[in-house]
Amino acid sequence: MRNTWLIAGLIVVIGAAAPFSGLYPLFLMKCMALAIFAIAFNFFTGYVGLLSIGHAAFYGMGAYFGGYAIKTYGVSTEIALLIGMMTGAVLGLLFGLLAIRRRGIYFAMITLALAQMVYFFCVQAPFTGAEDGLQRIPRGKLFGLIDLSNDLSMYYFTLLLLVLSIVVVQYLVTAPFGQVLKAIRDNEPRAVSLGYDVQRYKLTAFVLSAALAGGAGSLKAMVLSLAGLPDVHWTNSGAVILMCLLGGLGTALGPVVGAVMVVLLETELASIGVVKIGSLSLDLSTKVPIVIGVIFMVTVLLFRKGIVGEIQSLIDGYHRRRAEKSAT
Amino acid sequence: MTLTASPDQSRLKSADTRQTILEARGLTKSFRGFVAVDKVDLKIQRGGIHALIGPNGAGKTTVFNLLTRFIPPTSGNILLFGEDITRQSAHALARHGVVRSFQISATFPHLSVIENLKIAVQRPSVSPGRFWQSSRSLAHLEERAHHFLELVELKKFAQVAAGELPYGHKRALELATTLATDPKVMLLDEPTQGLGIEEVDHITQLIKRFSKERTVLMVEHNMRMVAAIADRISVLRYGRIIAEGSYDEVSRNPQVIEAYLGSKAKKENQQENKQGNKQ
Repeated sequence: MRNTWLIAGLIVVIGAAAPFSGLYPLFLMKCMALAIFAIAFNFFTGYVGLLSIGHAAFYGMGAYFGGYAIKTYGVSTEIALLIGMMTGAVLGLLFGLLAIRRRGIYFAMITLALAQMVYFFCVQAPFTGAEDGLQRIPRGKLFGLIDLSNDLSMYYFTLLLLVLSIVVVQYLVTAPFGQVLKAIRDNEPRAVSLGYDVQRYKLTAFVLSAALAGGAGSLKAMVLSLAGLPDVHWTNSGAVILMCLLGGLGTALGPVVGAVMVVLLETELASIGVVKIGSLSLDLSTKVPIVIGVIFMVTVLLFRKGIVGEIQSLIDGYHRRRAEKSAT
Repeated sequence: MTLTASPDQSRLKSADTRQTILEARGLTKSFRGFVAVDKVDLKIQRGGIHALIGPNGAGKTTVFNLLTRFIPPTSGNILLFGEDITRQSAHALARHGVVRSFQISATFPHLSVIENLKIAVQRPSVSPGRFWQSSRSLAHLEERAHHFLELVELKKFAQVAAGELPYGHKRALELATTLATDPKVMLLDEPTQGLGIEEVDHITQLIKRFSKERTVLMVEHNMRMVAAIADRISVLRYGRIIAEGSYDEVSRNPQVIEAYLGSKAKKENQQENKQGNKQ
């Protein structure tokens, strides 16, 4: 837990200073909402060891439902967030009940199939606005008191939520619950033989992860005033996998670093525009996925554990060598 | 009593007065027509060590998996304290006190040794419905985890990841975690497999010590160990039980000698027998 407070402190310091470094609060908030999404994904896939390709459904539906509630009924911000989380949790429970007994590729495929069903539902359903999406979503008032329409106040609220997500998830993975999840991931038959109902543990983790993803979705809807089909699309599930693998799956800070990297690359590459190499001219803005794909491959080949994962194992190795030295 | 196939029916009857903890009735498992376990009747009585032996492929591990509900039987029943548990799930059975180990060492490799033990001792106090439970609320279990750590002499490895332990220590840790769940019946699948002589002795003593208060059913290849500590032996061949009784009784059974050692090996068997008796 001491590490968690260190990480939380670090993010608070960097986060509090970031808007004054010339970075747009809106850009940073988008990063942070996606970081929470990645944290949610990492909590399940990183600690249970099952790959979900359905998380976009929780995120996207959280965005729609949270956004719809605040736009149509004018609920306060925290209620909209709670609605997003509930949406994620209910959907997660449905997905989980159908998929959690499957392993490996079968689990991944079932979550993907269910998420695609949700996607097509969103294309057809009247309240989502189909191709246009749900637009002009207000940010509302926090507890009905604090107006968040100002970018900077929304920014600090988002930062608070990010830190809260990290602390809560780190608490859960170090608590007995998380220890059991690690045990199940390590050796499932042994966990069964010790009397653990492993399916219920996995299902609980999946629902918690889906709830946080839904919350992240509704936060994003309020930050950008928009909830749309790209949020529910399977490529969004792909993006979150990418973020966690780049940053480091199963690490506390990995999802955050990964999310920032992916958003940064997307926006930076898009703004570079046309690059001329001799007679060859490349329009990079249309080739963002290719460039990200190459970066992804290089990272996976060079840093298997992701960026944070590699740094962590370097530090661990250093500590172990020092401990061995002092022991001899 | 047990098996229809046993030639020792009358002699075995005396044991029937002891309390039966775990019982299999007509237990059968077939895999796509291949009958791996064929109408096995087995009674595990309270206290002591019951060994299940037999040549390779006799169905010992399948019987094990059936008894612990890791695989469902094709037909037949399993009774725990007279109650039919054939339809219960594997983890529920573990909660009733039937805890098994595995043929290959079963630890949680990425958790430290002490964390491995905590996973075992905390089981009755945790549930997925209370995921917010703090580790501080389980602090009172710390002592118990350390107790089992000392029992298997792994204290100095407490903080080492279980996956980095030498093989013998892994098996000791596995035994400790099994013990730590406070089982009524402990089912051990080849507990000494792959161990050095010294480690075999250590594990043997641990099992012996444990079996005084509880019950052990083990599958074992090491006949010296079986001879030394098993109170009762069932011999399995082609999925059927061909003999049951004490080591002396079983080792004199011509069917067993033929099945287990081949008829030529009769002489060797007698030698082995003597060795076993010395221990």
